[in-house]
Amino acid sequence: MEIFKVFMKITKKLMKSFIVWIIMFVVLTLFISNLDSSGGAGDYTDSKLNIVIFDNDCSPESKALYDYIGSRHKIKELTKTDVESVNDALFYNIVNYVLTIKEGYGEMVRGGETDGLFEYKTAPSSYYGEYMNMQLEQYISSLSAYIASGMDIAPALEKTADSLREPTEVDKVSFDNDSRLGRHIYSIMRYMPYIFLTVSAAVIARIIITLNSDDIRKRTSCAPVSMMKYNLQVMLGASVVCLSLWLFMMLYTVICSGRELFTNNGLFAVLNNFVFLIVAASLGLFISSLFGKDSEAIDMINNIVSLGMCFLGGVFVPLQFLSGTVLIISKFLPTYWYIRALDSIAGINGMTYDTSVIRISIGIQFLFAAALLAASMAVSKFRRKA
Amino acid sequence: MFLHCFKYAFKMLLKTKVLVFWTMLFPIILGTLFNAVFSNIYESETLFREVPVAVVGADDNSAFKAVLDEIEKDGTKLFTISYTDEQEALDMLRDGDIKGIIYSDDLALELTVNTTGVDVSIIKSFLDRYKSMAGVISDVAVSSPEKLGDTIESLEKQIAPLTAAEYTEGNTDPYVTYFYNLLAMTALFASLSGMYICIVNQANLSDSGARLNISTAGQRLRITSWLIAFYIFQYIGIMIASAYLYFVLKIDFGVSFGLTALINLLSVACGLSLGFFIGAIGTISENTKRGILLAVTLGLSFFSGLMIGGISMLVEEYCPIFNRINPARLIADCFYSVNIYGIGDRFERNMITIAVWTVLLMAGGLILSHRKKYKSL
Repeated sequence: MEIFKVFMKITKKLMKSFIVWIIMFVVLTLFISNLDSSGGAGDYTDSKLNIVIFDNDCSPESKALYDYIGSRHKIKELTKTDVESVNDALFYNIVNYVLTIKEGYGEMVRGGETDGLFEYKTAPSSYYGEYMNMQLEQYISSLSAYIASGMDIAPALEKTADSLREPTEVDKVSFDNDSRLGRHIYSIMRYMPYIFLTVSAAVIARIIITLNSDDIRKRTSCAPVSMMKYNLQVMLGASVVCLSLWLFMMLYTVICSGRELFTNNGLFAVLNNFVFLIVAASLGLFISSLFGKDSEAIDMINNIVSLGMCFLGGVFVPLQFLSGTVLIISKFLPTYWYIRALDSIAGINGMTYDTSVIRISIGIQFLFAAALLAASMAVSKFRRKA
Repeated sequence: MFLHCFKYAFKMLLKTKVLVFWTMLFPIILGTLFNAVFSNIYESETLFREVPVAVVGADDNSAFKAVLDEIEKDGTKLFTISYTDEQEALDMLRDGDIKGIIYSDDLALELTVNTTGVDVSIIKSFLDRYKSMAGVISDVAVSSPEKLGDTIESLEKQIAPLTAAEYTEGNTDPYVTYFYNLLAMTALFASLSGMYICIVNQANLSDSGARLNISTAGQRLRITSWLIAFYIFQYIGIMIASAYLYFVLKIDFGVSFGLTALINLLSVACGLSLGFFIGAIGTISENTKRGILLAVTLGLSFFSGLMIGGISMLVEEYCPIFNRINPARLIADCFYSVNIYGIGDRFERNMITIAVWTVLLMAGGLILSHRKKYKSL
């Protein structure tokens, strides 16, 4: 097992420069996954917009409206309320809708006026605008109807709020088998391919470059080790390195999600994740076999491959948002099948829980891994003979 | 001598594939990926389209059907309506052809959905409005029946309580910021070239550095010629990438190509000077310097919003000063501010800050790399 020992020695030597890099990628990706709110399901709830309200009237009528909006949406208080800061918040979707209650609003509604009461700002021609405008028109319409019936303003405001408190009954049906994955586990598992592709592929590639350096290579060639044994020991070394990374990621997942990981669905997700690790490690071996000693080329290829696979395979952006052409290309990527299996386990993003879909997706990932391993062995053999 | 050094520096650049890759190919590849992935999202998730719904039992509720017919005739259609039976409606819901099923055979009106979202909430809001109108009429019919006519007239009246305020004439798609950050990152990747200049010219870090330091070309002249050559090379690279984004992918930056060229002039200089400064620090090995540089560049790009679009707003809330000094953020904000506000104070402030960074980092790098002497190598 001399080759394996050398592999581990090189790993130990290079680990200092890898650790910073590994930690940076892991922290960034885990930070991203913590901000993601994908996964999970539940009963129907109305969409709540983030709304900023500027009340230029400060009357009991505007306060009643403020309370009504607050009961249905999230009213945000911005630390800066200048035009630029508000526009920035709107652009970046921190805020979905900005409402200005004009001065004189109270007086106008008391007089039964219904036009020119508010100013609003939102993304042009957006769902947010249609949704919020409909609710505000509904409020004003009900209020003015009560005023027209001869009611005083105070009871009219109360009646309006009451009449809007009896919403339509909504039944949310589910067409899947009611299987779910915890939201947190889903978010973490979704971004792990990026860590595996970038870190494990780059780490393995760099170790193999060192193994392929002239001195070490020549000494190894003189040793009584067959090519098959050499390759197997290298793969064993790569497995140990990747397994350590994977165990670290699983530990983090367990810390974040607790017992949720130890359900049937959680374990299915773990299996899917482990299989993808094998794919990433095989890809690392393949890239290093192609580029031999060129560490800069490996950096370039690794970046393109990891980012490309993650963008096109549904890691960074859900598959349902990708166009038809992109989805056709995605099917040739292992990340697509990983995400497909994960979405099916979680029963989200348009996928239903289906064990056959999960098994097929995991199986295809195995095939990718096998193909990449075979290709890397073939390339290594060809290079050695050349 | 200056032209001689400049010529050979430029020739060397063309043969350094890693620099060609990071400067030209990487932004083109990443831009293509961004476009493939993000081009659909804003249109499908934010821009309003008629919400497809199915209505079951419409014939049993003529009042509600009349309201639906009015909506269909109206100019601003809310829904695309399919009148069908329950089983077919459930099939359509499962297949994603509709967003909700309205059961109108019961006067109470019920809604069945299988997802949540603003579009689904619009269906519910519409039904809520219908219900609340019916509720108002019943209340008034009981409390003030003589005023019922006025009440109904008030409810039927077209109202216009809302006026749209001026926002911007620019591109409001928030995903365009990924392209702004892509150009910012490309500019900052010029720092690899800046660092390379330092490494190659430091005798204790490279063999070529040792040879160059005993040559007749003065260090100042040599470094200046290299900086100019590398700057031109990087600028050509970023302009090729920018042209690809503008004219091939047709990304709507909200900024003219000429102004993009101007912003790139300054941003590449900033990136180059960043790498030059880090490369000139001490006798740390090349690998460590490269690691620090990549960590700094990617870190700055991350907090500018390269990986998560809205991260800069989070920074703005908790540490706004960082947004004012982060070069990646400043570059991306140049594009953003012109897109949303046009050329104004914010754009000028960003450009001046980038220029100050460039001068400080370049001066720092020149001071640190000046008059280095080696007792032994």
